[in-house]
Parts: sequence; C-alpha cells; structure tokens
Amino acid sequence: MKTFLLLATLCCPFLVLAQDNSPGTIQGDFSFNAQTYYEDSAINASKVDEFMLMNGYANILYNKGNFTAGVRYESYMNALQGFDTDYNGHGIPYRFAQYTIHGLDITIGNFYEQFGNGLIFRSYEEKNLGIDNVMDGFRLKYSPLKGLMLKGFIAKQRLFWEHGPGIIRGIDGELNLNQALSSLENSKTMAILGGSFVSRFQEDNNPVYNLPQNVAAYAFRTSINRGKVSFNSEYAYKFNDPKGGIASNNYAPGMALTSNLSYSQRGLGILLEAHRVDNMDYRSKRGASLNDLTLNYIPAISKQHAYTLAAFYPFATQPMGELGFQGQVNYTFKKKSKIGGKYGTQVALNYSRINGLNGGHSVLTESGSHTPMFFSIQNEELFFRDFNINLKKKLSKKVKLVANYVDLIYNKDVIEGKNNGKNIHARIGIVELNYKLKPKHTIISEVQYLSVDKDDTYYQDQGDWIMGLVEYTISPHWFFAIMDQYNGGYTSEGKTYDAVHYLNISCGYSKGTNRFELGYGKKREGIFCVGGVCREVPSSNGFTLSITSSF
Amino acid sequence: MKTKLSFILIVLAFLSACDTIEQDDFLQGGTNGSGDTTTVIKKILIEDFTGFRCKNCPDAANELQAIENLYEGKIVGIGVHVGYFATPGGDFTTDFRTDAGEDLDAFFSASLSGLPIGLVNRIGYPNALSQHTDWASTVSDIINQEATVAITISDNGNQISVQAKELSTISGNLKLVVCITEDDIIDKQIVDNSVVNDYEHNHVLRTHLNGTWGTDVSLTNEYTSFDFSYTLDGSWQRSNCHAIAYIYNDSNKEVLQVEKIHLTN
Amino acid sequence: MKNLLFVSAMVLFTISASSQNRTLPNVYLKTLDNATISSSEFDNDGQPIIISFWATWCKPCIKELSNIAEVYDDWQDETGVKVIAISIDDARNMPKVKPKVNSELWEYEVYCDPNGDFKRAMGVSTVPHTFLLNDKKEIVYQHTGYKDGDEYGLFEKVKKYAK
Repeated sequence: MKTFLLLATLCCPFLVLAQDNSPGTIQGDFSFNAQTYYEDSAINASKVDEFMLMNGYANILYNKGNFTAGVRYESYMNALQGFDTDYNGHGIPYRFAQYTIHGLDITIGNFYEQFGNGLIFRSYEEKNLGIDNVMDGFRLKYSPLKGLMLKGFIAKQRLFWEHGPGIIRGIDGELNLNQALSSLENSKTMAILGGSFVSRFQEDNNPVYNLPQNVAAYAFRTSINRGKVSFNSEYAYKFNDPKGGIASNNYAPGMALTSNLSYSQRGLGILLEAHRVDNMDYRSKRGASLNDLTLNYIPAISKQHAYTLAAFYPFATQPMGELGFQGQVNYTFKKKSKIGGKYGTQVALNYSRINGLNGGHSVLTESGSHTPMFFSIQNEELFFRDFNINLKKKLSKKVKLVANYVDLIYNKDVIEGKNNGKNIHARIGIVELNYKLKPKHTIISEVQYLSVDKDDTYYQDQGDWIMGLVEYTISPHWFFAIMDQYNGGYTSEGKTYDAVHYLNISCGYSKGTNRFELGYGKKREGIFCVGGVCREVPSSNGFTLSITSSF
Repeated sequence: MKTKLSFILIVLAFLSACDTIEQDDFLQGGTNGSGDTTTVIKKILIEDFTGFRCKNCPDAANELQAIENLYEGKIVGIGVHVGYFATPGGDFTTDFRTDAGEDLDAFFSASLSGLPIGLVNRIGYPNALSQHTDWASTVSDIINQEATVAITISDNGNQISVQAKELSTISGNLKLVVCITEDDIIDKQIVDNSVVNDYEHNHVLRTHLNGTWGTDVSLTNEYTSFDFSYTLDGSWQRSNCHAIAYIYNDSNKEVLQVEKIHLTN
Repeated sequence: MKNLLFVSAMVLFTISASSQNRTLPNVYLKTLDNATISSSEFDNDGQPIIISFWATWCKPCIKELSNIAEVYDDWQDETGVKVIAISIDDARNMPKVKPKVNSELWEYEVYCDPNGDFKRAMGVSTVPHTFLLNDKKEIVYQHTGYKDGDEYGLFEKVKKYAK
C-alpha cells in the first residue's frame, strides 16, 4: 500500500505537467510456457499431481517523455519442473517508476543493475533459469560532466516472492578519459577507469561468534583500447564475510581478478582471457545457497556452447575458488582464396582450462588460516577443460555447412556436487547442414555424436549419445522439427540402463511478434545453463506449449 | 552542485560501511543460554535433512552438534536422510531413508530446496526451512521462551510411555509424535568431494512409532499418559538408540516441546 | 491488494495513451570499446534503422545477421537503411563479441547490452528480435525469431519507409 501511495504521489506531478498533451506510449511483452507430465519409466520421468505445470509473465511499460513506469506480473501455477517450487503462486514482484531530469536519473521500486563485469554486484534476470535477483529500493544515476557516470543505490533483493534480509548499498563511478579531458579527445588510445563499492547490512544475532554486520566489497576496473588491441581488467576485493552458524566460521576476505586482451581486425580475432577467484561468494544474506540472493556474478571463463550435445556438460563458475584461462582465435579465409572457396570459410578455435586453487580457497578461523598460492596450475584439481574447433562454410548458393568438434573434461563432483569419482572425458562431433529449397523454404539438419571414455569396463556417466535433428522452416510463419536423442545404454553403480530414444516433435507458428510453439516428446534430464549459472531439470514426457508476444 | 555534494557525502558514508573483525575477536566471550532449571525448560527440536552423498551435509551435522553442545540438554536433533542424496547405489549400500522421513521431505520440500537444510521447531511454516548457518540464531531467539507443554518419557524395553501436560492454555489441535533415532552409526559419507568410509552418523531417524504426523492429543494441566509399543530392527544398536517425543500445534506445525531419552538396555 | 491498486492506477494513468508510435527509450549501452553510449544517439539521417537483438550463443540470430550481411550493400544502396546489432551477451561473452563481429565481416554498428537494460526497455523477451524504425525513429515494425528468408519480408518493409 505504501508503495502505491509513493508511486501515485510521484506520478501526480507528471499528470499535471503533461501540458504537451501527448498521451505517452504503452508497450508490453508476454511469455507463457506450459508442459504436461506423464509417467515414463523408461526415462525415469514421473507424472505430476497437477497434470500440467506453467510459468508465465507479462511486462507492461508506460513511457511519456522523461517518465517511465512499469510492472511485471508473474505466475507459476505451479512452477515447471526444474524451477524452485518457492516460485509457486502469482503476483507482481516487479514495479518501478523512473524519471530523468537535468541528467539525473531516478528510479524507485525495482531495478536491475551491474557494476563493471559484475564481480561485486550484478542484479539480473534469467527467466529460463528461474533467476531473478532484482533489487527493490532507490537508484540514482548522474552524469555531472561528459565522460563521467555515477550510480548509487540502496535496496533489498528479491527472493522468490519475498526479500532477503540484507540492506544493500552500492556506488559506482566510471570515467571515460577521452571524453572527460579535452587534451585526450583525439588520442588514439582510449582509456576508461571505473570503481565501485558495495556494502550489505545484516544484523548479527549469532550466539557464539562476532559476525560483521556490514560486509563490504570494492572493485576497480580499466579498459584500454588502441586501434586493433584492447585490454580490459577488473580487480575485486571482499571483506570478511563469514557464513554464520556456530560450528565454525571463515573470516577470510575474498578476491577476484579478471583480465582479457584481444586483437581484432577484419577477418581475424584473437582473445586471451584469465581469471582468479577466491572466496567470492557474495550474497544479500549470510550463508545463502544455490542461486538465492546472489549479489555478484563471476563470468564463467569457458565457451558457451549452442549445440545440444556440446552443451551436455556445461561449466559453471566456482565462486569459492578457481583459476581459469581461455584463448580463442576466429579467422575468416577470404572469398575466392584457396581454403576460403567461392564464399569464404570461417574457423574458430577455442581452448579453456579451469582448476582449483592451491589447497582450496582462503580460510581464516580463530584457530588457523590458509592462503592459497596466487598462481598454481600443476597438481591442482582440474575442474574443466575444453578444446573446440568450429568451421562454417557456404558450399553453394543453397547449401551451408557447420562442423564442430569438442573435446572436454568435466569434473562432475565439483560442478554438480554429485559424486562420480572420475572426471568425465567427452568428445563431441557435430555437423549441421542448411539447405535452401526455395528462397523462403529451408531444411536444417544436424547430426551430433557424444562419446565418453571407458572406466574399467564401463562407460563414464551415461555413456554415448547420438542426436539427429531435421527442421523445416517456411518464412515467415512456420517451422516443423523432429529430433531424436538416443542413448546407447550404460551401467552406473551396478545398475544397467537400457538404450533409450528421446524423440521430440514440435511445430511453431509466428506472425510479427506473436509466436506459438507446440511440442510433444521426451526430454532428458540435464543441466541447462546461461552465462555459467545452471539449473537441473529432471527428465519428462509430455506436451509443451509456449507462447510469446510483444507489442 | 547540491547533487554533486550529496554524491560525495554518500561516498563518504559508504566507505565507512564495513566491519572488519580481528582474529582475536571472532569469538564472543562469556557463556550463553544458561537458563534457570527450577521450571520446565522449553527444549528445541532441530530436524536436519541430510544424505550420505551430499558433500556439504557434514557441515550441517557439525553445526547441529555444536548447537547441542552450546545449549546442553536443551536441544534435540534428528537427522532425516532423504531424497537423491540418501538413495543407495554403488558403494553406498545402506538405506537410511524412512517412510516418515520421505513424507516430511515431501511436505516441507526439503530436498527440492537443496541439502543440507533443516527445521528449527518447524517455526515459520509454510516457509519453515532454514539453512544450518541460521539455526543457532533462531535457537538463540527462542531458547528463553517459557515452556507451554511438559513431556516426560520412560521406556520399559518394548514400550515407550509418554506423559504430557499443558503448562498454559493452548489453542489449536495438538499432536504427539514418538520416534526412534540412532547415534554412532559408522558408514560412508561424502565430505568435500571424497568418500569417507568410517564417517560417524548421529541422530539418524530410524522410525516413527505413530506415523509421520503422530496422534491427536488433548492435554490438561495434569499429566496424561500415552503408550507406544515398539520393536527394534535387528541392525540397530539398542545401546545407541534414543526415543524422542515431541508435541506440535497442528495449526501452524510449530513444535511446542520435545523430550528425549536413551532406550533402556 | 496493493499490487491490484497499483495496476489499476497504471491502467487509469495510461488509459488515454493512444496508438502513438513508440520511439526509442533512452538507455545506456556499451560500445565494442567499452565506452558508454545512449540509445538516444542512434541516428541515420532520416533513413530507416533496423535494430536487431542477438547473442554470440544464439544460432538463429547469427544466421539472420549473416544473411542480411550478404545483401547489406544492396539494401544500403537502395534505401540507405542502417543495421544496429545489439548484443545481449553478458560479461561472460562480451569480450567475444568484437572478434565475432570481425570474423563475420559484419559492417553493422554493434553495441552491447550486458545486463539487459535496453532489452527490457524495448520489450524483448527472446532473441532474435528485430525492430524497424522510420525516419522519425519511431518503431514501425518488429518481429521475433528468424527463419531463412525472413530478410526478404523485412526488406519489403524497409523500402516502404525509405525516403
């Protein structure tokens, strides 16, 4: 009720001031996903009591001049499998009003924000993963002079339909030297400096330990560009942030350092990246777990695969401690060259490797401490290693070919917290062909094969997979697809699992911004990730219906 | 200009917004929770949802032990092995799951929320789950509350006898649950990504004697007696077993009193 | 209850809003050199602008932009249209945007929207999502998803609004 009055009061002046008589504009978007669940013992899928589950939401934004207000209605009746059941229900968890006046941008209510790369603060939404850690409070953005941007906020963070207990305060400043200093205006080198500070207040009522009630973190960043070369780096430090409880508490500070260097010109791109993360789990509630109430975001340092089987074993950043590297080369062989052929050929190579810190993350307790070496690769626990090569070539006017090869090592114990004993070594081959039948009719076919190493006499994890996909699209309205994922059977923990097909058919119709998609089939259990954050989805069998729309 | 000034003020305010605690001051001095013993003490039930494949669950078990030690005699713990992490397979052959445990898991959505997780007197239902790092704080908030129910238990070898009475008038339907737990079970447990073969499992829930949700009881200000006969499974060590009785309010699921005794040998 | 009130207030407040064409919201984006730019600075001297939301991990997005790239010269000669590609890649993939753009030989203006601010302000829920702006930078057409051949329909619309 308070919020409403506050917003109403704020809106009033705009109603009065609306002298230009333009009524403003409204826009919105809508998304609905539903699935039915049937019992299917072959793939260990279970039915649900509700028969059908659904996730849906709709945004409505109103804009007039410098004023914007918006709401989002969300509904989970009940939440699709794989999403936290705490979402069950419906309501308006997101509403805000925002106006800009003389360069000062004021937001009240909910807002998303990111400082730098997000190492100490990122509030964001990823609806596909059930992540929405939106802030609720006040935010100001102000640019007192050209090239300088200041941001500040005080807010609480969303946790499903409630808020986390912490009060979060943050400020961020970014200075573009070339824009701010007239002497550098025409410099070939461009430099941007930034700094941020975030602090969480949460009461300490621990009966044994003295816990810090205010837990702060700061970060500095720089971005330097000169011609084809660019360098970006950010360093973050977090003060003591024990999780609470009385058995033991770790008072060690946290740090993260991430850097990348790239060279890029027409037809060639080279990227080198490294990061080190130690004890950087920062949340708006002490000791919160899973994806709840995360305040910061450590970008994963591996390639985000788009093909189904290549994304079978995705890596997620371990914010408690890791050391990672990545290198990537993109090269385009020119048209009419020997390798390029008539239309040119694109090649991309990517390598990433992530391991644990020496002896684990930093620890500082009343009885002892441990600080890992800054840099140590050999003999450390390997978390993930991925080498992949991607080739894209237009063969003729009608045919395009994409080929992929991925060789990866996946530490299931660390990444999923499930004991598997040995790292999984998987090799994945993918071929995609696009064939244009007529200008608006295209057939896309994919064949993917995933093969894992053998341990003793058994295949690792779930053994080998093969996948085939045929998709037929008719621009602008229709698509039809049939996909089969086949698992050749495997033995795990003494149990033998039979070979099984996961067959799926789907079709979609779209017109403008309306899109309908209906599917039926079996889905395998798996881990779905965006940007290094993942959710586990159980296997299922049923119909899916998805509708999106925007206006 | 004003805006610039206020930004500078905010910056200064922020820079002080951090508490750094020195190593000597991590622990508070003094003692905690030493209440008087002349009246009936309110004891607190902590249910720890756990599993031997759950690598972070030993942290919760240690926390439960530490809370028991801190508030000696006032805490009753139950380790409820549930869900994926407690499912036998491969080297993990023992099945610590129980029917009642699975019911509780489903009702409170424990394993769906990720283990370890637990309940302190089931306070806060339907959002009763809390992480082990929060248990001690919750306990310290309620440890000095006055008891509203008194329970005593006795065991004659094959029958548990529970006496209970109201200390003040309580509205709502009360239910009594009697269960058996076992300590010192040596079995496998994953601790930090490696399998420990001789991990000591304590407070392991073995069985409920009167169903997951117990039996309706109506109490007066005089002790009423409730009897439950039992037999132990051959694989359980009688000398490590306890009988636990707790009474909760069915309207909000909150546990009002809990008591525990060692089974007679 | 408060939510209901708020919604009714919003509805009342906006009930008078006509079908006036939407213009671009004013949101800060990042250039490929990490500098900050406002979406209000988008300009094409009174010629149409195509704004296409994409991501390095989105196959249909890349397909759409690559297919337009093949005919982009012709489109520009004929209509003066400009394509602005908005990458919604977050901090993880943002460093890969510039090499990707260069290896695809795209001639577009490319900006990054790493935390989805522009995406939200434009009402984009999935990528690809493409907008067409007329000479007054009003949104006159939009579509979501991409199928091979969709670019022909888009170009028909562009021609309609080119001066």
